[in-house]
Amino acid sequence: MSTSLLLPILLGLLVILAAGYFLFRDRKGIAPAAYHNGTLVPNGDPSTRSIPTRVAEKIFEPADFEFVRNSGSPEALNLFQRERRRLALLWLKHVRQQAGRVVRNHAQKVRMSKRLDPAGEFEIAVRYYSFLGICGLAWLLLHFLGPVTIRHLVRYAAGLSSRLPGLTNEATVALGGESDPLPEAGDRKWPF
Amino acid sequence: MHFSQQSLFWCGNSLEAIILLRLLYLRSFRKYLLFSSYLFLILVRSLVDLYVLQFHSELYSRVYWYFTEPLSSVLGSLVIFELYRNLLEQYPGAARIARRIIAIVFALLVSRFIVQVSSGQGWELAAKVMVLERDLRIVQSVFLVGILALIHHYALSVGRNLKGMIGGYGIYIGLQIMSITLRSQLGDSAQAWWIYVHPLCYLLVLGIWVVALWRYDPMPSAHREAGPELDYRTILGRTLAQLDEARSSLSKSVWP
Repeated sequence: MSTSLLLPILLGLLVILAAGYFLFRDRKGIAPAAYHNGTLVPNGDPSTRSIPTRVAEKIFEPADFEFVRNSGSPEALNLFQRERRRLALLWLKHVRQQAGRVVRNHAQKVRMSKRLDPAGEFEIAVRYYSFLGICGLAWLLLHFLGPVTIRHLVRYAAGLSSRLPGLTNEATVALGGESDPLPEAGDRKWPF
Repeated sequence: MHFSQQSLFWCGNSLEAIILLRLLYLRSFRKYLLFSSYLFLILVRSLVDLYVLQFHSELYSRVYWYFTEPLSSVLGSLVIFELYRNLLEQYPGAARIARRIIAIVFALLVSRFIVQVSSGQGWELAAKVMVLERDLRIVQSVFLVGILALIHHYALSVGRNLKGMIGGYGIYIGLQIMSITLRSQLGDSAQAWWIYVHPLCYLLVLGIWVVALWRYDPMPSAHREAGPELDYRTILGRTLAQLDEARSSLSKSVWP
């Protein structure tokens, strides 16, 4: 099937599905979030309550994982990993909902404004959807690797990147070139 | 015209007349002036088609391709204007932006068609009308998706009337794009099913409109935020800052 045939048919199908969904959906009203001076405040809806940063950090912290691993029980380790993954995914969902609420609240506030600026709205859309993209990526990583493995990977990657200049030098020397000594912090000369 | 075709034809016309009479009875004719005009003109168009077919059948092809078919495609844009007009009635800033964009895009599209027709031969007109119709429907579908996006993004409450108009017209546009594409690719072989599929689809859409417009249910009044109205730039700045904060908190937790 050629593209000139396929694309309009797909577009037509998409429009039918979107219109059909819109027609038959049963939209339940969403209670507007409570804001005070632009800051989200709890109003009874769990997604408006913010989770303390230390809780999020605890979910990803490898110390508990090391403790359970050292206990020597594979069942306990499996259970721990499953639970941590669930917690991390729940936390991610919560963060995504909060960002969604920020955007919805913005829309509620500005939708009647006469000074609505398309560029500003576009900027918000770009930032919000790129945030959702990052959330999607994080979801995939959390789902398939788990929070503790991600931390390990990040630490490994961070270690690798700090070793990268050294490795480049070693490779240069191995290929017969001259090593470029790494500058000390005090010796760094800026190009301007 | 076969009996089955005639039945479909008269069913469609009857439903259009029912909707128009109902709009008149409910006095919502003025509220949905563009939509009502669209329905009225489509009804007139059908009757003109029938008259020409019965009494001047040698002219039918010309009238169809030169007049009624392009007219109905262009008239379809009235529905899109109507949807935007009603949807954004209470939102002047968004309405102003949407009006300009829609007018520019439609003007460009129609200009392109006029240039194409004036530079080509007569026998190509049917193909050009089909291309125009397909292009117009595609543009309309983009605007319709835009309407759905606006409703979703700004959490706009939509009344039953507008919901039916949007849903019904969306289904109609989608089916039109698909059938025009298939017809232009398959040629005459598609004509056999086209004469049945097209009126059937249209009947489905008219059915949705009859149900949706049976009673007057306009857009609910938009809820204005309590308290002093903040400057748009201030709200924008705060929202962007909050999104940045959410992003950095996510990054810090997952990728410290």
